[in-house]
This record gives sequence, structure tokens and C-alpha cells, in this order.
Amino acid sequence: MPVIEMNRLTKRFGGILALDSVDFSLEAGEIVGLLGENGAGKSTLMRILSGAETPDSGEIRVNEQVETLDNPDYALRLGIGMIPQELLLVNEMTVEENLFLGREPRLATVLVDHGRMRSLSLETLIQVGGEEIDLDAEVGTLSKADQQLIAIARRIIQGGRIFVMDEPTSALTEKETNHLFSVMRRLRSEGRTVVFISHRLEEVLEICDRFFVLRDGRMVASLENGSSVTKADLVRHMIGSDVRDEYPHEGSTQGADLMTVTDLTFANNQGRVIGPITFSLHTGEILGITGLVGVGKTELAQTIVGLRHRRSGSVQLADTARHVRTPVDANRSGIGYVSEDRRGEGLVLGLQSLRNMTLTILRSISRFLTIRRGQERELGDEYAKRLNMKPEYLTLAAGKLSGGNQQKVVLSRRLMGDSSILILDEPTKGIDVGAKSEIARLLGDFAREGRGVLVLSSEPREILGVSDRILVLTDDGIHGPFQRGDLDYGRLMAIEFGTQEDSDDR
Amino acid sequence: MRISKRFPFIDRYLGVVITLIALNVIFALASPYYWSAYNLTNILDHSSISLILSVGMVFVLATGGIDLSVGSTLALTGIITALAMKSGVPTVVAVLLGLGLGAAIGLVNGWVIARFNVQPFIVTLAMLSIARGLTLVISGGNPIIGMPEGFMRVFSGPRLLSNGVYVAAIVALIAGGALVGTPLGRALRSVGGNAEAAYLCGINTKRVRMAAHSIAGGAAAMASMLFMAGMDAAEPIAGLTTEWMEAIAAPVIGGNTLSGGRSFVFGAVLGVLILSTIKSGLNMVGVGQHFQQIAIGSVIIAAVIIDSLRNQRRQGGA
Repeated sequence: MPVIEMNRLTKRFGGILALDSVDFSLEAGEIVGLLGENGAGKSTLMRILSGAETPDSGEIRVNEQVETLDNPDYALRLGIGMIPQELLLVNEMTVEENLFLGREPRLATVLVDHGRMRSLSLETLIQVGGEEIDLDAEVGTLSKADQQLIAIARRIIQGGRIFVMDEPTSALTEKETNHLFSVMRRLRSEGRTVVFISHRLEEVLEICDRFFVLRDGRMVASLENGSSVTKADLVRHMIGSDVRDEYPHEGSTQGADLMTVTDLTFANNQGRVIGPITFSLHTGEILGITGLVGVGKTELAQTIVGLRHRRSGSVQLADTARHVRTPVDANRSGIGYVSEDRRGEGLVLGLQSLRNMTLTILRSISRFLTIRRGQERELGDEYAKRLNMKPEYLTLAAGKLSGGNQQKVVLSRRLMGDSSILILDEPTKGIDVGAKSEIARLLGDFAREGRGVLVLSSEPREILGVSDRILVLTDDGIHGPFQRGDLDYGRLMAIEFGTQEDSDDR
Repeated sequence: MRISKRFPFIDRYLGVVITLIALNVIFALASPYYWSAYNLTNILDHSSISLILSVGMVFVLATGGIDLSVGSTLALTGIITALAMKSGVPTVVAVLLGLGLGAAIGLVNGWVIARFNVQPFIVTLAMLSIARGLTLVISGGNPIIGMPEGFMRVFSGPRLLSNGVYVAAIVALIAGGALVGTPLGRALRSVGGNAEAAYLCGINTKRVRMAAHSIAGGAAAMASMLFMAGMDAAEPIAGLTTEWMEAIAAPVIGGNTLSGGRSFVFGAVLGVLILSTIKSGLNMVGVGQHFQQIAIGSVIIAAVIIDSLRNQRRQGGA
């Protein structure tokens, strides 16, 4: 008798079909793996299960009852608890305060029942194997592993029957991971259900009873775990066979070293040290760096441009023999960085698109203290034409544009400037297919002018389509570089998921 | 560092307590009159109004907000309470009316902030102007002199340690307990620490913000009672600058963060004592009021620098 049954769920975001008639079910007392490559629809499915998103069509049954899960609080009351990667704890408060947040047992209706809270906390922490955690410590001072246990314990206290864990092991050591697995097994033995979302296939094979595999919004496989199931099987289900090419690309000739990154190490957002990483970017090429979500690509880009603390190693520019240490250095040395978060970091949302484009070149289009409007407008028109963007958009506030057009504005800004190196983090995230290929073409133009482009992306097809050379970042380190054409989709996936021995670096 | 990790309480307040002791030693050495029973009780007396305002402010700071209007609220509730008493309303009712009005002004602040998602800074800045204007209109700019005997007995009381000090101490004790030991107190701090986490744990973040501002308004009204008792008059220009500035500064000096989450009443108590000590001590050694303002401003800057350095250390060490 399934505790959760989801039938023919469909969900669209704008024009994109995120879930296409998906069936999914969970039984009491099992650990279920949910697999799929980036963007396959795993998060959407789980957000629907936890009430953060509602499906366009389809039916959800909880304990045989048809339910409308339209807010997280209601899902929680039905026992469905999400434990997202960012654990949603209040760092400034103590462990015990976090465990009972919003659900404190009360005394005389206005007071917190300290005694009961203490005993329940201890009991629950023992249940998740966290008896050594100090209940009075501020959560922010604890390790990621302990914080994870607290997040799980909180869900238990909230009456959780179903635990959805999104990449819970990405910040854990092997020992901590094993501990987490024993907690998951214990939850299972108590008749609870765990959904385990992970890119780490060894772990998935070790812990899960069953798997669901999503690809492009469709549920492509549902299989029992057993000795016959291998990592290669899982990868095959995840990637399918149809490989499309959305990125027309004419290879560009590559030249001398433009930027050399040597033995760079840095800490990712979870505090894990990544690196050492060594590679160089040549003139006239597009160098792609790819890897699974959370492997540290964004952090790598931030470290290169000096936004993130560099633990060791160096970033050196060929023409000036200069080291890049701060974002100001990066700017002066002609590195143009376009962050993943274009709304937050890249654009002044209330400002006209045209003004956004010319922000970094104001000096060159000004005479004395005034901006030459005519010249500014001409430049804007020229770039709008190159980028296939309607000229009317130039006078609209940047915040009103679609994601694709916003990205064009940010790119134009970098192209107008005299950057010799362009570093782009997830340049086509959330952008429709048409805009994707226009942006890819533009990057090609930029490279052909003798400049260098570094693209960091989690989308394997994008990387394979636009790059002249490819580096693959995994938890084990950096693989490659691979020449364009030497790497196909299956082989790239095999490297990312570690199902193939690292091979012929060149 | 191990000890401070085991006892966050010590880590949090050690620096402030040492500063307070050091200031007392310095002033006692500089002036023979400083360390006298008369002067020390005087310091406590002067602290009581600031303390109640600061305690209210701690609730707002906990949510990551700020309330600039408490000085004006103090003046308006004072005038209204005094007018009520003068027109024959029983003292108890008049006082309750004043406290209710203070809470209501705070509630309006909180409602606008939460309902329309506006910055607390600008909403309470506007309220500062509105409440002051109302005060001046209603009073015609004139103080209302002569409070009823019963009122004076409760809020002023015998000399040396006046009842105001006890009132302030009780308010601080209740507030400190509430912030740690009630669901509301925890909700307040969670909203300032991580509003999304609070929301997803089923906490009504809007209502919590409104409660915080309402408490700050009520506290301002309570401070107003002490103010009136001290002057034996309601002053339309009460709480014009120093009072509300100190109400914000004291919690910060005592280690509460302006960004919310880490907010405790005890820090505000220490902060108020430091400010009062500095003012009284500088008076004793003959430094004039104008120079005192410069000194207090400098202390505030030093406190926020220390707070910022601590935050960096915390983030670096995490």
C-alpha cells in the first residue's frame, strides 16, 4: 500500500515542460533513489511533493486520499518534509531552539516547556545518532554534518513520515556519509520513507531499495536495486540515446596562452577544499569547464576573478605577467566576469537596458562630464542588432526583460568593454533555446577576434556544443583538457559520474 | 577559544563587562566623588528610561528591524496620559491608555512594514515625524505640569534608588525571559536570523514583525511614565534626540547585531550602563555635555566595528 502515489503529473514553466505525465510512488519503510541529470525534473517533482509548487495536472494521493498540496505547512502536517541542500536552520540560535522552531511545546500557553523540550531533543538526537551534539551550541558553530542531523531531527520532531533529502552527502566526509546512511536505515526500520537525491551513484547503489530515473521531465525507469544493477545501467537510463545539437559552432583557431591558472585551491560554499586546479586559456578559444552541480564551478570562477579567497596557487595573465588577486585587478587586466546570478550581481534592474550595457564604458563615451547620448544609442543599436534583440528593449528597464534578453544585455556590456578574457558562469541558465544558440554564436565571434572565453556550465550539451576544449571538474579533481570532438555525451557523463577510468589526458 | 565555545554567554559579554569595569575604575580614579552611593544610584536612575526604551528596541532588532520613532512615541504617549489624568480620568486608566497607545503606534509601524514589505527605517522615520507633530499640535507646544500624587508615588517614589529603577529592572527581567523562554521570543529571533527557515517552520513572519514593533511602542510608553515622574511634567519635546539614539546604540554596544537573530536583553542592559557611566563620569571630571555627545558617538562606532570584526571571524571560522 503506497503512502504516496503521484499519477500523470505535468508541470510547465513558461514554455518549458518540466514534468511530462510523471508517475511516482513511495511505500512506507523504504529508501528510494531519485536520479536524473541536471534539469531532468527531480527538484520540480520534489517541490511538488513538499507543497512548494503545484502541478498543472495530475493527481496526488497521500495514504490513499487525494490531496491538494499547495503549501509547505500543509505537506508538513501530512508528514512530508523536505531537507534541502541549504538546510534552513537559524545559525544564530541554539540547537534546541532550532529543533522546535515554530512548534515549541508550551507551558501555560505562553511559555516554552523547557523540560519536555530538553527530553524530546535528547531523545531525537539519539535517534539520529547525534547524542554528542551540544543542545545549547549555536547552530552556526557546528559542522555541516551535525547541522544535517539537526535538520533531520527537526523533521522527526515535526512528525515527518517522508524525508526528502536533496544531495545530503555533497558536503560530508566519507565517515559522516556512512553515519548519515545508518540514520537513513534507522528511519526505514521505523517505517518511514526516505527519498535520496544524489549524483553520487556509488552511494545511491549502496543505500537505496529502488530507483526512479527522470530524463527531460519524463519518468524513464523505475527499478529495484540488486546485484545486477550497475552504475553504467543508471547512467544509460539517465542520458538516453538521443543527443541533439543545439549549438552550431565553427571551430576557432587557438593561439598563445592568455591566462594561466596554476595549482589553485579554494574552499567551496560548504567549506570543502577544492583543487589544486591547473589549466591555461588560449587566445581565440572557448574553453569549457563542466561538472555536476555543487562540484565547485561557480566557486572556481569566483576565485579566478578574486571574489573568493584563494588558499594557494596563482592566476597569471600572459601579456602583463600580472597576478590577479582582487576583482579590481581582474577588471584592470581585461577580465570580464558574468556571474551565474545575473539579476543579483550583473544588472541594475531598475535602470534602462541601454544604460546597463554602457555602465563599464561610460568614460569612453563621455566628453568632459557629460555622456554623449547619441553615441551611446548608436552603440546600443549596433549590439542589439548583433544579438538579435529588438531595439525597443534598449529603453526598457533591465528588470522587465526575459532571462535571455537580460543575458544579452550583460554580454553586450562585456563585449563593449575591451575585455580580452570573458568568464561566463552558467551563461544560458533559464534561457530558451533560440537565445541559447545566439549567445553561443556571439561567444564564437568574441573568440575569433583573438580573445579568450571561459565558459562554466552544468549543462553537458551546452559545453559539448560551444567549447573548443573541455575540462571536467569532479570531486576527484580536474580531468582533461579534451579537444572538441574527442568527447561525446556518453563519455562526458561517464567521467562526471566516475563510471569510467580517467583516460588519455592531453 | 575553547572556553568561549562552551559558554557562548561568556564569549558574548566578556568584552563589554570588562569595558564597563574599566570605565568605572578610570572614573573612580579620576574623581573622588564618582564612586559614591549618591552618584552610583544617580547613574542607575538615569539609566532606567534608556533601559526600557532599549529593551523594547531589542525585540525589533531581533527581527532585523529598527525603530527610530520611539522618542516621538514617548512624547506623544506622555502628553496623552497627562491630559487624561488632568481631565479626571483615574490614574490607572490613564496609564493603561498611554501604554495601549504606545503599543498601537508600534502596531501601525509593524503593520505597514509587514503588510507592504517596506523598510523599517523609512516607516519609523515617518512615524517619528507624525507622532512628534501630533504631540505638538495636541499640547500646543506647552508642557503639562504637575502629575497626580498616586502616579508620582508609583513611578518616582522615594529618593536615592527611585521606583523607576525597579520598574526598569522588572521590565528587563520579563523581556529577557520572554525573548529566550517563549515561543514568540524564539520566533522573533528566527525571523531576524533566517526568515525563510522561520516561514517554512510555520511561523507567521508578518505577525511576528508586528508584535516586535508593538512591544517597542509599548516600551516607549512605559519609559514615558518614568520620564514624566522624573520631571513631574509631560514634555512635548521629550525624547527628541539622545533618548532614541541611545535606545538603538545601547543594544548594539552590548553585542546585539543590527542584522537580527542574535539579540538579548542582557546586552542592552550592559550597553545602557556603559552609556550612563560615560556620561556621568565625564560630568564628574568636568567634560561638558557637548563633548559627551562626541564621546558617545565614538563609542557607538567602536561598538559596530567590533561587531563587524566578530562577524567576519565567525564566518571565517565556520
